[in-house]
This record gives sequence, structure tokens and C-alpha cells, in this order.
Amino acid sequence: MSKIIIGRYLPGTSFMYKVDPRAKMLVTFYFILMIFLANNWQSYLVITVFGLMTVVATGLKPKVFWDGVKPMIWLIIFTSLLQTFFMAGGKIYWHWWVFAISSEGLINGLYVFIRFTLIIVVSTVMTVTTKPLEIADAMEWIMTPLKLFKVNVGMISLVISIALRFVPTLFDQTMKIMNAQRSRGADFNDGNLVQRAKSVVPMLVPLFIDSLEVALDLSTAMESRGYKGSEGRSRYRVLKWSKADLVPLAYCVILTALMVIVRIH
Amino acid sequence: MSAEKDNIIAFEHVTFTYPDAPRPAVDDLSFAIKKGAWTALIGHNGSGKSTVSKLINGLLAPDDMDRSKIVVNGIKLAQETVWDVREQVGIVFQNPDNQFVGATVADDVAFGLENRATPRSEMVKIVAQAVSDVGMADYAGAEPSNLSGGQKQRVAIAGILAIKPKVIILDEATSMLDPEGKQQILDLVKRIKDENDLTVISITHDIDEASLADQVLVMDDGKLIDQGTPEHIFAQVDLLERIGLDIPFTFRLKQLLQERGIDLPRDADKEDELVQEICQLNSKM
Amino acid sequence: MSIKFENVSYVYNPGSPLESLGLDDVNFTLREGDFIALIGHTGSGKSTLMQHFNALLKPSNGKISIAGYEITPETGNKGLKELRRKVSLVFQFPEAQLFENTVLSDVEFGPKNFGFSAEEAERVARKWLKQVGLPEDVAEKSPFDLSGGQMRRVAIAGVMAYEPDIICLDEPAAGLDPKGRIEMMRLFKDYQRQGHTVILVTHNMDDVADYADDVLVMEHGKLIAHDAPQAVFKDRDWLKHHHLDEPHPSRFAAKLAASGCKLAGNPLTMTELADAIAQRVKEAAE
Repeated sequence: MSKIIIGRYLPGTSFMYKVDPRAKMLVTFYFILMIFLANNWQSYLVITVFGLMTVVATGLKPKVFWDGVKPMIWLIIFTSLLQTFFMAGGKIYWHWWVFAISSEGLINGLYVFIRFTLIIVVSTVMTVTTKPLEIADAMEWIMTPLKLFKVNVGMISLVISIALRFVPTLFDQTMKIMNAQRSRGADFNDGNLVQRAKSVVPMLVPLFIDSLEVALDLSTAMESRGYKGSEGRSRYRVLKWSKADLVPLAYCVILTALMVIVRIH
Repeated sequence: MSAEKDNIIAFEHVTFTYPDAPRPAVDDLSFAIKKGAWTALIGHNGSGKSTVSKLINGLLAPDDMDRSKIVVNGIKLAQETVWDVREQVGIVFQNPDNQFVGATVADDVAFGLENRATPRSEMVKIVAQAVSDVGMADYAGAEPSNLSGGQKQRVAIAGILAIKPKVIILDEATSMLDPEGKQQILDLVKRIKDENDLTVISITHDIDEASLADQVLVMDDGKLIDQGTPEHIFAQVDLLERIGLDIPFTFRLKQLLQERGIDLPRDADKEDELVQEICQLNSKM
Repeated sequence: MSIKFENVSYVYNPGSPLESLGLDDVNFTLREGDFIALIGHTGSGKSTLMQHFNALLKPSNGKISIAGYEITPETGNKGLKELRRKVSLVFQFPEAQLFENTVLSDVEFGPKNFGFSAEEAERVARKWLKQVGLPEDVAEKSPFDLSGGQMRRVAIAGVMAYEPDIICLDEPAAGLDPKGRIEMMRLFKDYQRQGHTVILVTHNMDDVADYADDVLVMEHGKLIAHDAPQAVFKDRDWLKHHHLDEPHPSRFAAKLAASGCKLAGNPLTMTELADAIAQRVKEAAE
């Protein structure tokens, strides 16, 4: 039995884990929207402080969030540098061809850096404290209005939930097959691109066959357990708002109020 | 007439052929299973025994619906009654992973109830009861990837208990488990059978599992070739070899002792009886 | 030469919240050429240990000497192919690894990877398909058209074809019918008699009693016993304490003893049991 992390969920018990996934998802969207409303240093300060508050509320080590930012760091730096060099305004310190370093350029580069980093950090806050399944549930809730347009939301959510449930199973199977083929002398890492592409066949064919078998077995089991399609089913797992969800609401109200004040200011 | 009433499942002239197969998997099969009995259905791989379980709850339909008749708890299986029949029958399949639908133990147990649109308030109670009935209460929130094969099969049984069927079919349900997991499942089924007044059909090629039965049906080439008590079936060493079943321990031992000039009574089939016989032999001499 | 584990530990997911100890300071020396049984419950560390034999997992700590190779935490991926030609693993339900269009080319896959020429690979493939008890005409068939039991044999032939010095099999007979199981076990016993080392991971104590020369018992990542079957199955209370089964014959002998008919020694196999009973009866007659 191997244990793997799907997505980036880390088990924990802090306040952030008690917040309803729908609230977390909505607040994350709202926060990202607010980031784009920031236009001066006061508003950037407010948004940064509020962003860090969510990090603290997770009770997790800063490293977790750094791990989230790390893969993107060069992209962030590159974008910030573009802003810095191409934006001329205010005092110009250095100038060459189309490039310039100016006071406004520097400030804008910094703003872009903060924006980017904050977006990644708050999405990390959500994904590390919310199980993939809860995210799927929250998405289903958000998609509910689509029922008006005849979208089969119940079926989509069942498909997502089954897919998530089988990720670890298929991961185990993949590892097992790779180990079996390695024992037979297969090499998945060596050689040129063509050789490498060819070397995945001994892994993909068995995996494909296994998945087909799982799908057939699963559909038989579901039918024998009375599954007749997604219509007319009741639900066992429901999300329930709790008092803890008043906190994110208050958070949004205060954030909005502060942002309005500093922007007018 | 009363005999018919006692039967919970009856097959009459049932024939089923898989698409593109040269021969029927189940060939003009007729048998009856008594209410409340434990029946073992044995035979080698491809003998048609697993096809039978899918025919019982209408996952497969006989070739000729007019000639074949399948009756489950008084309901004649037909297009219109298939969902009623599935209310009566729960199947535990072979692969513990491939029948676990829910994201967690409780979700999986609830799956059958959700399909029947059971109101949530009721569902919560039933799920909690079923999960604790199979000894998995501590794992209600656990995800399948953190459970052993035996635990997953217990969850499958809880999912069946939740819909309160009359018949539970173990379709090679223990064949992928380790000995400990297997024993736990068999002990559990023994217990819930009595508590819930269930009829058990176990499709197996495990001699220990088959020996729990009141009645054993032997299948070969889609046909029923013998039926009787475990003692009656297990005494036929040739038959067991032909269908690929282990020769029971006591028979093997008696055979070896015979080779060594020690004859023991034919009817000493149970291990404890054999122990008595051997000890008597000892003291007599 | 011998197979030696010195202070071997293995940590899963080091540094993450899911960190767990797979092997805990395991030490043993195995004789090459033995039939070795590796037993213990699901999750006891058996499969983790098994994957160390051909460096699919490398120890987090300690040193492994096997088939002339040394594996330590620092061992790189170079030269592992040579090691895997000499030490090979057969995982549980190995039929899941089949992927080629024909049975023959699937069995040739291993030999070809290990540098056999095309003719040589075909020769050994045909030889081992026969050895595992498959009819000649399956060679050209698709492995996916075979029965489950036949697929199992093809998969096992695919590993035995390059004749590794050491072969480690995880429950190779699981799900086979009794006849198939006995045939499989005899195949491995013969392979050992031809001078190879066979390591069998199993739950079946009767197989341990019937075939093994040496037994490793794992529990919670630790090696809790390493001895001959006679010694491992000697202490009934110890077995009970560790929730380990006894071979059926010795369970029966215990029942006899409880009924006042104690046999000499502790018979582990059917033959030993029958002999002991016969002897006892004979003694009583005299």
C-alpha cells in the first residue's frame, strides 16, 4: 500500500481546514479579483497583508507555499523584469535602445511580482487545505445554475468523483507495471526521444488494458447496486455551511472596505 | 407446491451464450435454492459459474426469455422486473478495488441508497449502522487507497446490507484476499446471514469456503453435473480433481495413511472425527 | 557467494507529512542456491524488501550485497540492468505486465533487453514456454486471448527465459487452481535444484513447509525471524502472538496432541504427518 498525495492536499486541522470548500473557492476567486483592483502602494500593502493572513490561518510551514511558488519563479521574475524595462516614467536611471530603468518601471515591476506571487499563494492555500473531492463538490455547487441550461451536473460530478477515487489505484498499477518491466530489463529514462517514446509502450498497453478491465468491473458493480443513471438519485455527501464560514464572509467585507478606502485616498 | 414456496431462487431451462462464443456458457440449466440456505456453486474457471450470478440479478439476460425462467423471491425476472429483482440480490465481486465506487467508506456504502433516492436523513442512519455491522466504524471516513483488500470487501458487504436484500452472492469474493482477510470475510458473512435472515450463494473454488455450505452445486461446461451436501461432493476425489478443486485435507490424509497400511472409516470426513478415530486406533492397540 | 543485508532501512516519502518507515534495520545473510520463503502479513514490509533485491528501491540506509553487486543509498542507476539480468522479480498477478502482440514476442522482451540475439531470444522463449507447461501453438497467439492461468504462465516464462541466478516471486500461484499451483511450485523447485536461488513471497504456510529451506519472517518493517521451517514453526505460542498460520499438518498434529495422542516431532508436511501417525500406531501395537 503506497500513500500518495493527489493534487497538493496536505492533511491538517487548522482553522482553514474547517472552512467550507465552497467558501474557500469563492473567497479565492474574490481575492484574485481584488488583487487586480490594487493600484497604489497602500492597496498593495492591504492585499499583501490579507494574503498573508490566509497563509497564517493554514498553520502550515512557509516552505509549503514556497514550494508552490518555486516552479513559477522564473516566469514571475521574467514578467516583472519586462514590466521594469519597458515601462518608462518618472525618474529615469538608465537607458539603452528600447530598454529603460525608471522609478515607475521599478514600482510596476514590483507590483507585478506581488500580484503574481499572491495569486499563486492564495490558490496554494486553497489546494493544500481542501481535498480534491471537496474541490469537486464545491465546483459542482458553483455549476448548479448550469442545470437551467440542461447540463447534467450530477453526472459530471459523479464522473469527477470516480476519476479522483481511481487516481491512487491507477498510480499504484502504473508503478507496479513499471517495476515489472524494469525487472525485465526495460529502461524508461535512457536513449533518445524515439527510443524513449517506444519504451513507454510496455507500460501504456498494460495500463490501458487494466483501465478497461476496471471500467467494465465498475460498471457491472454499479449496475448491480442499482445505478440507473444520474436522474432521481439522492445525495449522501452534502456540504453544510457552518459558523466558521462567517469568517471568510467578514474577511471579504473588511478587505473590500479597506480596498475602497485606500483607492479613494 | 410448498417446496416451490421454500425456494428463493429458481432456474428453469436457462441458456446463455456470450456474443461470438461458439458454445453457451450456461446450457439448459435448472436448479433451485432454498430460502435461508448457504449454497456453494463450484466448478473450474470457465464452467459458467460466474455467469450464473450475473443471470440471477439480470446483469445478463438468457438467450431465449420465453423458454428460460428465472424466479427470484417470487419475482419472475423480465425487462420490467429487473430493478425489483436487484432489490433482492446483492453481489460481492472478486476484485475489491473495482467495485468500490465512493470516495470514502461511508460514501461507498451510501451508493446503493443514493441510487434508490433514499432521503439523506435516513441514509445517514442506515450507513452508520451498516458500517458498524461490518466492523468498519473506525474507518467511515477512510479512502479506499488506505484500506486492505479484506477491508474493501467488508465495505462492499456493508453496501449490500444497507439495501436489505434477501440474497447475498459472493462471486469469488475471497479469491484475491490473504488468508486473514478471507477468514474475516467468511466469519462476517456467517454472522450477517443469521442476523439478517439472508440466503447466501458463494461462487468459489476454495474448498474451505465451499465446506461452509449446506448444499454444493457442481458446474461443468455450463451444466449442473452434481449436487449434494459438502460431504457427498468432497468424497468424490475424481470429481474434485476434474473441476480443479483441492482435495480436502482429511481425504488426503486418509489416502496417505491407507498407503501406510492404516485403514480409517470412510465416513470420518470432518477433521475432529478423524482426530478421534486416530486416537482411538492408538489406544485400542 | 551469499545475499547479505546489513542494517538496511527504507523510508517512504522522506521529509513529507506522509513519511513512513518501510524497512527498519534489517540484517540477514542468505545462502545462494536455497529455496527461501519470505512471509509476513500484508503491509509487513515484504514487498518493500523484495524490491530491494534488484534495486527497484535503494536502501535509505545500510548495504546490500547480492549477485556480486553492492547496493547502498549512493548507488546510481548505471549497471542496474546487469544486476536485473541476474536478479529478477515476478510481481503478484504478473499477467498484468503482458503487452506484446504475440506470446512469443512478449517472452522475448526480457531476453532482448538483456542483449540476447534474435535467434537466441526466440530459442529461450520457446524453451521456457514449454517448461511452464504451455502447448506449442500458443506462441503465435495474442496473450490477451489466453485464459487467466495461461497468461500467468506466459508472464512467468517471460522472466525465467533469461534464467536469472536469483528469482523472487510474489504469490506466483495466487488464484490458480490446485493442479496449476502444484505445477508452478514444482517448476520453481526444479529451477532451484538446477542451481538457482528462489525466493518465494507467500501467505501459504503449506507451501513454505513443502518447499522452503530457509524462512524470513517480516513484521512492521522488521525481520522478526530467520530460520529453517522446522525452527520457525516450532514455537506455537510465538506464531500465535504474531498472528501467523501454521502449516495444516502441524495444526492437525496439535489437535491430535490435545486429544491425548502426541506425535513424535512436529510434522510440517503431509508425508511427515502420515509417517508420524503410522509410526505412532505401530509403536502402540507393539
